[in-house]
Amino acid sequence: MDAPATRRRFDALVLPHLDAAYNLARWLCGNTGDAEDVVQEAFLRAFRLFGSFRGDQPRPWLLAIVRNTWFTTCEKRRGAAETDYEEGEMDTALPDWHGAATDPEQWLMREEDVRLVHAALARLPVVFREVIVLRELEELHYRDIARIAQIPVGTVMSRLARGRRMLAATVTALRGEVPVAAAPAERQDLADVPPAHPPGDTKHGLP
Amino acid sequence: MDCHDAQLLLQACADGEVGAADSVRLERHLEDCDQCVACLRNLQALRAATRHGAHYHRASADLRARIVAALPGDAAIAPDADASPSPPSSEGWRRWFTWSPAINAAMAGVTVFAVGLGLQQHAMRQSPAEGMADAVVTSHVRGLISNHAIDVASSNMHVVKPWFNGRVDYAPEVRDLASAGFPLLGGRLDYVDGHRVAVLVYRRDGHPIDVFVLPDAQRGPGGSGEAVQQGYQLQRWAAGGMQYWAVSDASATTLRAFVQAWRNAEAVAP
Repeated sequence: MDAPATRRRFDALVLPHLDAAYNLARWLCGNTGDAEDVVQEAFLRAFRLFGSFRGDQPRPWLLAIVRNTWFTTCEKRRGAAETDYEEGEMDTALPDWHGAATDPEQWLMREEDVRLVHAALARLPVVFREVIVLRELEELHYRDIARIAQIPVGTVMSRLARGRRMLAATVTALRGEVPVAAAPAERQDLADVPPAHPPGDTKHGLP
Repeated sequence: MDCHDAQLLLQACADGEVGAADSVRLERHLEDCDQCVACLRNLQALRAATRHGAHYHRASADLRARIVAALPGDAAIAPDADASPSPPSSEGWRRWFTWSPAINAAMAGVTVFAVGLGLQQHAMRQSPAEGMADAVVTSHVRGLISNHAIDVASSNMHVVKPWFNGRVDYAPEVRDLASAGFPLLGGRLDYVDGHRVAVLVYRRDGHPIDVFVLPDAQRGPGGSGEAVQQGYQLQRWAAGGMQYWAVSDASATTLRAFVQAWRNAEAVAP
């Protein structure tokens, strides 16, 4: 295939997913400048790799390149600041699944919580943030998420489960904070939010 | 199933990723576990809140233009990139056309993408047969990956057929094809196109052959035909008011022989 034809095919298949690429990069990087750099670099890489692209599912294919680009540029530079998570240690600090369910109001998203979700998601460790973004905002299947994040499907499921619990706990924690955006909490604080209360406690997680 | 087993399944259920066999087991558990029902509701509420609350960041027009300009290849997509912009005119609507080359390029790009995307989607629109073939292959692969290829393992058609009683709302025909070289391995319940369907599993030289039995010929494309999808061979045919889809990684010849054997065999007495 000659160069203009390749370019036309790339423009038709890959460029329409620019927004998806940027959304992922923006959520991974946490700021506009890095995200734009990552996306631009990722598109150049994607174009170089386009010859080996088989033509199905361009969006997960592109997102895998974006994720990879982010990982090699931003994440390495930052060091293992966020990725040194011990998967196992999360379990102890996380709210008990059933403890909250006995008091649905406490765990359930309330109407006014929806606006807190954005800030809460931005505070999650990146390994959990990325699977939630890919699942909820990009509506990708587990298998595609596994491919993009380079983890087994089982890990996608457990990270989604933990990430969602942390998200709910963080929203609960943010309810007490005024204003919402002030004083980013330490990661430890987020994990330590006690969601399970003794029966009869109606404070819904507020101090 | 206890609540511990149900936890990951609840996630998968809220995400619409639970297999048919697990779905049945989970349904049974949810019937008498209010806690897990509440969990599922919470999960669904959290999902909805995330989708509404978390902002979807979109690329700026500036970034789009930079990327379009940076990509190598066809320059025709960004016409007049080198032409000097016409002098700014103060008169009325003409000023709208004195955009900078970058924006012109971006707009041209956007138009081409839009047209391209439209064409691509038009080209990718599936016929009913393709849609069904897709669903059948997906289901076949899911069964293999999740190790749930078989719910009832038996080479006896008199065991497999009654197993479907109460699990699907029709009685699938099960035929003994062992003499033709296609031993019956068993059956499973699967979920295709929004319905529970019976799947019979046969084998030939290590290749599993799934036969999807769909109750009425009106659903799906009807008639018979064959297709290849993701490397899997597909054969479909209709008989006795049922639509059959056979899918396998065996060769096309083998699968054709299988369909022939199926048609030659006597149906098991109801």
